[in-house]
Amino acid sequence: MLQPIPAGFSRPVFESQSTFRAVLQAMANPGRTVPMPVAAQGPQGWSGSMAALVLTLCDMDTPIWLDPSAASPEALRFVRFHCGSPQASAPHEAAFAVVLEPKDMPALRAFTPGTAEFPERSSTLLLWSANLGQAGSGVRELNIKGPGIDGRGELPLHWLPEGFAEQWRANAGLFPCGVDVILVGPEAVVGLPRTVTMEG
Amino acid sequence: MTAETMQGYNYAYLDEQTKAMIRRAILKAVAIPGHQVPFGSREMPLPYGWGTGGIQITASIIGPLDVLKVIDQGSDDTTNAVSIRSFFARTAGVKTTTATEEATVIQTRHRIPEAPLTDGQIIVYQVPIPEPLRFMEPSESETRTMHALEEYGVMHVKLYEDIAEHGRIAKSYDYPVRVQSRYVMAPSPIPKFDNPKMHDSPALQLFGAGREKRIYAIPPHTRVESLDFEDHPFEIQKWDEACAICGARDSFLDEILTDDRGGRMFVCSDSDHCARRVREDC
Repeated sequence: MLQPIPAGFSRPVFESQSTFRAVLQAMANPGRTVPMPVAAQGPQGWSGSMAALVLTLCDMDTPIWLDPSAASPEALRFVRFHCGSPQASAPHEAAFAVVLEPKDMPALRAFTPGTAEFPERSSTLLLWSANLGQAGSGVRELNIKGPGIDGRGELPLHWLPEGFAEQWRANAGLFPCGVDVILVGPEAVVGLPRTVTMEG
Repeated sequence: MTAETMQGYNYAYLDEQTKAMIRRAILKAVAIPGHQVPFGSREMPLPYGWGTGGIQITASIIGPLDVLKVIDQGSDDTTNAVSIRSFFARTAGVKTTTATEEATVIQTRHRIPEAPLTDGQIIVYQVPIPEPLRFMEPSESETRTMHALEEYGVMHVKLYEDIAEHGRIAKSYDYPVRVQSRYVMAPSPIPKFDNPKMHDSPALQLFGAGREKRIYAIPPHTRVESLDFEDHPFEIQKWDEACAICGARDSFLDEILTDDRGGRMFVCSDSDHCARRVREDC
């Protein structure tokens, strides 16, 4: 029997372009909260922002790994139909990984950091952050530094999964190798390329 | 989109799968400042050496809200600049401009505008030879290993040989830089006069080499140092003359021969900068 597939973008050319520009701004300015211009129609449990990112970045050249909460039959159909991406059987095979349940996220080192000659062959994590964009009171901020940040920036700790900052230190230590992370909120994204260092 | 937007091609000429591939390469390039990321460069409707790499980057990032400026050696009105500008006006329906501060995307061949770039702007460089070590080491697999091992001694030897032979570092354009103290990078054939503008720039800098199939990037606010020696520090070009049109003494000047009896004048290479100064004086 035919199963329905979520529609994705309504204007794919322009919506993938504006989505890409938001991600590019986010990766070029780590820590900056960049509003997502589009919400795409995605599978149950995926935000419109997450669906838009997958539609923009993934195709048949990019093995994708979906964490168990993202990998519903509907989501698999969605990715197969719109992107044609092969399913990565393990995180380290993934060009892109969708993590909807941050607390059960595999360790960062489970993904591939690339090689010294080809550091760009590393995984990019699309990491769901339900709180992203919310200020909250008495929130602890991490100090972040690196290319793209004018002096120093701040990143609220409650946007990240528990224990992320410690894992990130190890990841940043692999430079020029390392994984890159895009924090995906309901309506905005924050880029964390491997060059970012976190303190505090 | 304007009524003149060309029909029969995909938006901004490239197909969507190619754009996605280039976009992924750009994101990784931004994450590894100064590192050359290979990409599947396409054949474009203009010859290699005319900016196929820059055009492919611009086509992959540009959207209907963008305002595009294109310069060739600083000038908005040379053949290369005019035809690339009209290419995107026709295939992407974007607004174009010659004013640096109005542009959201600036594609450039061999100059950085004199007017300071701003946060949110993207400058796209056309790059003929992306590998700074190429003339010292012809093998791609060797230079790749040298970058991986941070093995840049040969570059300093080259600069030192210049000093031994000429008494100074003779390279005046495509002067090598070190990005965030890691990768040695070719800034494309911009004059070394423009090198300091790359350092700590608020704009995002993207580099595309079409024939050599490489993309690299410098994010905003990134450390970019021109290679030098303690006793031979990096210096930019200086002129005794001022611009013959606007009188500027702080811009990059082109020498123009005016007759066959030795007559010559110096004028700003950045035509927008020069015209603005003339307008504001009046």
